[in-house]
Amino acid sequence: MHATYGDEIEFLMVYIREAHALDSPWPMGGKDGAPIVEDPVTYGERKDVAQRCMQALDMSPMTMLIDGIDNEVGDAYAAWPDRLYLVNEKGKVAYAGGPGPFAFEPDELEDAIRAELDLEPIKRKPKKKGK
Amino acid sequence: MLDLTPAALALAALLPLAPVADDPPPPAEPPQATVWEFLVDKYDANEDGRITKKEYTGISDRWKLLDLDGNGWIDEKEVESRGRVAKPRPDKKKVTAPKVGRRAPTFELEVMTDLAHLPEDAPDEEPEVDPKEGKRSDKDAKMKEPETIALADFRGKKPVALIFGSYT
Repeated sequence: MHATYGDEIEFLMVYIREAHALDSPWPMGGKDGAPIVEDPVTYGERKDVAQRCMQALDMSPMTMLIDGIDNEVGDAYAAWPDRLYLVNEKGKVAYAGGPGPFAFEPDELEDAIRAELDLEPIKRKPKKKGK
Repeated sequence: MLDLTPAALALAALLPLAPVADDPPPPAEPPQATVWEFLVDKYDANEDGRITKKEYTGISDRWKLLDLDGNGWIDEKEVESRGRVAKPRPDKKKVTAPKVGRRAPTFELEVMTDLAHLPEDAPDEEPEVDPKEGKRSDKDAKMKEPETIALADFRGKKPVALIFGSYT
């Protein structure tokens, strides 16, 4: 998506509070193959984890920002654990995705991007019930 | 090993299919340890194979998420058999997502620099010192000064896709 629309849309990845830190209510990591991460306590620790994330997932084509340890921006967007938005040139919300992971829908974001750029919508197969 | 959570897999849809040819591949992460190996390496001060509440120096109110039976210590069996605890969030702060058509909350955040993509000699470079002023040069100052981006920077210029997420 970044390769297709990156010239006309600014893609900003915002690193926010961990979703499945080992000391969180929903721990993951280790045997299940997910990375082992403790919930950062300081901004420096959060930057260290963000750096690991950036390298492991090779986020280099996109600009990655880091939320403060007070989670101010993540909370302002109700973004935890993950979420997608499109903000138009006027600074208004053009698309607000649902809370991840179940409502994290990149296709919806792409549809919103195409609408914002006055491009033909993509014909998609209807989603199966229950998804 | 590249670990991908469901959110990470979804994020991949936003990225180009192949890396830019000139980019060096990211360094491989060390072999994956278990959660217990991670914890014991960090907190088991007396190396007796278990971690007591006194030894644990992490977030204090998170201890109860590790010591599920509340006996004051944890061992490998207890940690590795936890599964998902699914207790309420420690902070019950109510948050509301901004709706379509409303002004997007403003922010200005630090830009992360991908250290893996810096030139190889960058970390070893001595800071450039202006011989007259005895201060760091502008170039060095730019390297050390955290770069920030504000959402407002793009107003009137281009739309912004915001992808919120974390490593796990």
